[in-house]
Amino acid sequence: MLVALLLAVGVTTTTGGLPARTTAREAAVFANRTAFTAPCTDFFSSAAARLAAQATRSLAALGWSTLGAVGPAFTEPAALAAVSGVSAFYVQSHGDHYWDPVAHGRSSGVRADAGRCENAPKIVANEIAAARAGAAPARLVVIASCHNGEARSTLPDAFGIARHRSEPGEEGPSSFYVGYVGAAWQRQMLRFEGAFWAALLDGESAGSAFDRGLLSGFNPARLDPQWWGAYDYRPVAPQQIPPYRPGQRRG
Amino acid sequence: MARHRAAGAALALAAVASLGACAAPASVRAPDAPRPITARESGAVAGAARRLALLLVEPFPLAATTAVPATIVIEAGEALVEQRLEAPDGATLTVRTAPDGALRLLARGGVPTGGPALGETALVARGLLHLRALGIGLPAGPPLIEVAGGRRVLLWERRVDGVPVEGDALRLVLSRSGALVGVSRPAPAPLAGAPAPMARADATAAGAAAQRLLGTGRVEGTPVLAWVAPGRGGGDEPLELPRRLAWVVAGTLGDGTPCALHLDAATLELIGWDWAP
Repeated sequence: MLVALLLAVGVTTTTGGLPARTTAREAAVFANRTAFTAPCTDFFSSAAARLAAQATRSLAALGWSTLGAVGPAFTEPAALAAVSGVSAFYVQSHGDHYWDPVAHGRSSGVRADAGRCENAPKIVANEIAAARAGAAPARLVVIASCHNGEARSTLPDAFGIARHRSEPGEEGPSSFYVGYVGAAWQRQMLRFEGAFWAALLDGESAGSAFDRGLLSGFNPARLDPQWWGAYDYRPVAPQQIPPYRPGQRRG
Repeated sequence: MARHRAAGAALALAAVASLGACAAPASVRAPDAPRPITARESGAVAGAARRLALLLVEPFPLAATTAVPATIVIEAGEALVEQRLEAPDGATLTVRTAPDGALRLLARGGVPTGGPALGETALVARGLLHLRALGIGLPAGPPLIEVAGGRRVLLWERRVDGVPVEGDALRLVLSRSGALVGVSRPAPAPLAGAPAPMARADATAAGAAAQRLLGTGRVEGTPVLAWVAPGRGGGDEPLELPRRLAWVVAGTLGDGTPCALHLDAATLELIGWDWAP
């Protein structure tokens, strides 16, 4: 059984190379595979790739053109180049509030894959904010890592999203941010995010889709999802004809 | 999860019965095949959602509501009919029912996140009120209560011989002031045969086996028994597979990443794992 479980699982990169410029209709999806599977760990796991795949599929169905990388091609320069102009961003990796020697303080962020088991380069909020200088606030950001749903996380600000929740029926920004408080376990993320994406594809608002995620089979002792932005926002790509109307669905 | 559009109430229910009888594995994805549906059929299917809407403690505005044609979704190996109502103000009500009419999911979209926060006792009382209104049998014992995204998640775990069954809880999500956001009630997961008590390894042996697997990592705490969804290659742990009795051993990987290993309760073979990046 152990041998069977240790069989390598094929994983595909979400897209090819990165374009020089990104557009408002583009989304980026990155996932750290190397640090979460053998030989860096004692077990093989396809969880990172599956998380990225469901994000990529869903974003594409919502009208976004996606770029990004799963595995060693997820480097710090690649991520910063992509993040500079995209309007939707998904990343799965280690996350924390890292010491930023430039800022002489803590800066929230995630680690790249870069083909490294440990101490992979970090991509922190200050760098993201610099890369996005002048860009419009991001529409949809999902940070599938530990700690970046905490109130102290500076990642929402880096994407131009205020840490504030607009109620249903309230005017709010065209933005939605999802992160996790404390340690976030991968199996639980898969269940929560699976339901979240499925509800978005059903035409639910981002806030309602988040609620649907809460109704999925994840263990809330091992995953504490958090959101900011506007409950009613529907993260379809801009300038798209709304893809949903009563009686019409995409799955 | 797979989904496809049904041609109408009769066809939808017939398809559900067929899928249920065949017990199609979740890896089989139903085609996304739009078919025509008449207004009459749509209304008939939406009837159950409207009936449930009338039972809610906090009314769902049915006036001018649009009923989305029913779909079939396959979740954890079970084919369910999904019905959805959309109100002009953006509120939604989604209902999933099993072929026998059992409610599996009721989800309201557009429930306010604010309001005064209820204490735990009041929250549980409010939760039980919602369950009673929906005709769901009141669960025994106190729920596990967690806060997530401003919501309150109340879980009543299914236990077999005192051992929790992973992913098999009655789950109630409420706003902080006790308004119903949703309820999910999966079909009871099948259980793989439990090992005979005499063949069950003890917690100490499970901890030692996990330590061998973790190498430079380390086991932390005492292993606990649980009915878990067994993993397949790559850690895919579909919830429709029969749960297996396992020792869940908490620990850390060599780099300090928190992890949990699932070891078959009898043989101590590794059947699943999870970790927190």
